[in-house]
Amino acid sequence: MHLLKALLHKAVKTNPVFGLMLGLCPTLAVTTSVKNALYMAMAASAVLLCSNILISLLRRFIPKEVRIACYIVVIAGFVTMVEIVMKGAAPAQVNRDLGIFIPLIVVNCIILGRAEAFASRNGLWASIGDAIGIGLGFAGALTLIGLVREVVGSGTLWGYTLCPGYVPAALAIMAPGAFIVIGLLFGLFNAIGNRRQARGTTAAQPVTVTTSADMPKKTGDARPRTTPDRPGA
Amino acid sequence: MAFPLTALGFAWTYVIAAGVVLGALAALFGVGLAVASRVFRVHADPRIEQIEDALPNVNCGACGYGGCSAYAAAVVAGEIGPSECVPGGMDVARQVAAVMGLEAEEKEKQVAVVFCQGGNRAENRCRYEGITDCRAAVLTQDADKGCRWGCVGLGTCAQACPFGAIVMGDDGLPHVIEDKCTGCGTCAEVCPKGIISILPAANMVHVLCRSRDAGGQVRKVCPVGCIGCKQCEKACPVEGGAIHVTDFLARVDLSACISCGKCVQVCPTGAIGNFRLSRRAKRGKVKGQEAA
Amino acid sequence: MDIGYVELAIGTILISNLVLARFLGLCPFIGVTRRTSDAVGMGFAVMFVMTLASFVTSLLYKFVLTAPADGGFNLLVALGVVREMPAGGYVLVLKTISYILVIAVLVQFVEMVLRKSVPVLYKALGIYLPLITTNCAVMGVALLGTSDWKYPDHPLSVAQTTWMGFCGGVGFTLAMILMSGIRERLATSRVPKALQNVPIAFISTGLMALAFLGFGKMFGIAL
Repeated sequence: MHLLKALLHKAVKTNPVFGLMLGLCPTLAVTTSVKNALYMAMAASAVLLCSNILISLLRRFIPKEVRIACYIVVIAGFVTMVEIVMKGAAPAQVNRDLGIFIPLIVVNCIILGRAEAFASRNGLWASIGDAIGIGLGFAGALTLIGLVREVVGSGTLWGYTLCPGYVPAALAIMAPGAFIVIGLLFGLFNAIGNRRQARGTTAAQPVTVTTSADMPKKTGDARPRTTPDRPGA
Repeated sequence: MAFPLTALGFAWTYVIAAGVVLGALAALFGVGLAVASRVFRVHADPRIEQIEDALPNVNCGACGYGGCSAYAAAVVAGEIGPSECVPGGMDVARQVAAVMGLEAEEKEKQVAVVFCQGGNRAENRCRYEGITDCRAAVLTQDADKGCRWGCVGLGTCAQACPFGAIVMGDDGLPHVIEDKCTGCGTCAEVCPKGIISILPAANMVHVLCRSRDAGGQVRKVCPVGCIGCKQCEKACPVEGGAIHVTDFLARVDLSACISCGKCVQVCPTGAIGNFRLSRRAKRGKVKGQEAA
Repeated sequence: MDIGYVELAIGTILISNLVLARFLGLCPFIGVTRRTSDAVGMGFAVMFVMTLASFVTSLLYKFVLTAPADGGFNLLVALGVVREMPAGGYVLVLKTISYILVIAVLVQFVEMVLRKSVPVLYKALGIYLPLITTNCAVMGVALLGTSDWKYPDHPLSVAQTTWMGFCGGVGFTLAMILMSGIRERLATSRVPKALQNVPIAFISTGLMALAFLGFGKMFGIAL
């Protein structure tokens, strides 16, 4: 239905990682496995939802000059809450892997960006929808990268070994692998986007020039137009 | 699971501490920033920012200044008129003039014209393997084309255009998308051969060649180059001639040319181009080929 | 184990480079490295902010947020705001918000100073200056030097944390300059259309990170 389509549009067409290129730091750092990716996505989405709600409710009271500082304070409050919850509720291994990137959600450009671009200008329900859509998109992107890196780099999926004989390419879980995997994924999405664009409407046409070559030949004009064949370079 | 708020008694100190620390930080920073904004005050005419907002912010330099901010500052300082932004066109000129309380003057539309039709049809005298940039190729033994006046074809102009208005075609030549072209002149500046010129759109006939080699030499390397045969000079109906051949190259006198297209028909190599079909078509008056 | 200044420098610039090993500061890394002049300007601005931010946050951490060691000084206790600090101090609840406040204010301050004293650089950096606030690198290095320091039994002194912040900035600038050099070269190369611009930049970064992996455990430093 209409709502689902709007959410999907937010998640896919304006995907925060692959479309808007925001929030790249945690994307690369936490996607060493699908589990970490999902916990991070949950944490970030929770902060996004709460901050969108609060900022949308307060949007008429926040003065324009100090709005960024206000958003940051609001987001920091929610990040602290999420941090404490994660310390208590998430497995110790996940907390260790995620490390400083949970408090770094406060400087995640996605959350600040949506607060600035959407929550500060739209009503409560629209902001909630926006948070859900963008959160889903972020989760999808993180999971995709986490999936690729975990399967290639550890041969496991959620901790369960997939193929016993597979010697994993440990580079994929390390820093260089992260960059290369995301570079290739960006390239893949670019290629899909290009193909979709090529099938769509044609771009503006370049100017056309008419010369004597385009005009019907007059009698007696026997000069050859092309040079005789020469051995090519 | 180890939540820090284990006993209710402890909870209050967190609230107090948080309040005091953040309140103190906020007060300290608030005062500090207020003082700093006084000390580091920059006196700027607010009109500069208003004009900057109206400008397209492409920093192409067509106005003659280093960037849009420099142009805005110059307009406010009274050094230059409000209609000099070429990519912005009349819309931007009117906005800038409104900020300054002046009148915007009409500027005729200018477009880039590529003065070469050789491309892949022209012969190469060697093979160039290197950085795919025309300037780099020219620095290396004057590029690989047989005609040293013609287009190198590596696409530096297409890359430089801030509006995406010039694209490299399969024929090895750049093609101008005149709907997008704003006449900013970036492509003309970067072309190492200098074969792109920014000319008024009202002039529709141009000799699309810059080769000053003798006719025989031109024939050897390019099938569509100007050989300096002077047929166009003879065919021109304008009093005093609007097209003249000097140095084996025909050149159109833009002030005299009436864009009738007679020279286009008689050129034996097809070096002269008529842009009339493409430009007039936009206004719905498609006249087809110009009759003799 | 006491970490010396040289070990901190090598560890932060080469072994655990903020961008190439710790994934911090990627948004400006991809966004500002199209031209070397922009990259250098941004790098120096970030260096300045990082040093100051590390200094102020380490002061905050040592004297306000943490429970003091025997004989140590704590501002809250000294002012009588709280009778005694809880175990673990107020770090968990206050660090994120106080650190980010410090950084936001510092960036605002740097913006003002630059606008007045070096207007050319201010114009060149344009929108990227306020973006330093949301730069994970500045916040990240503040966290790494204080509450998330690798060896909690041997915390760094204020001077060492400031030095670590400065070196983090140096490493960041180094990575930016290297990247911008590569990207300027890539701009004139034949890159497949799907990989142009961002994807090939990431792949190049990956190869650079691979090279920097070679610095691991250099001189026995484990940072």
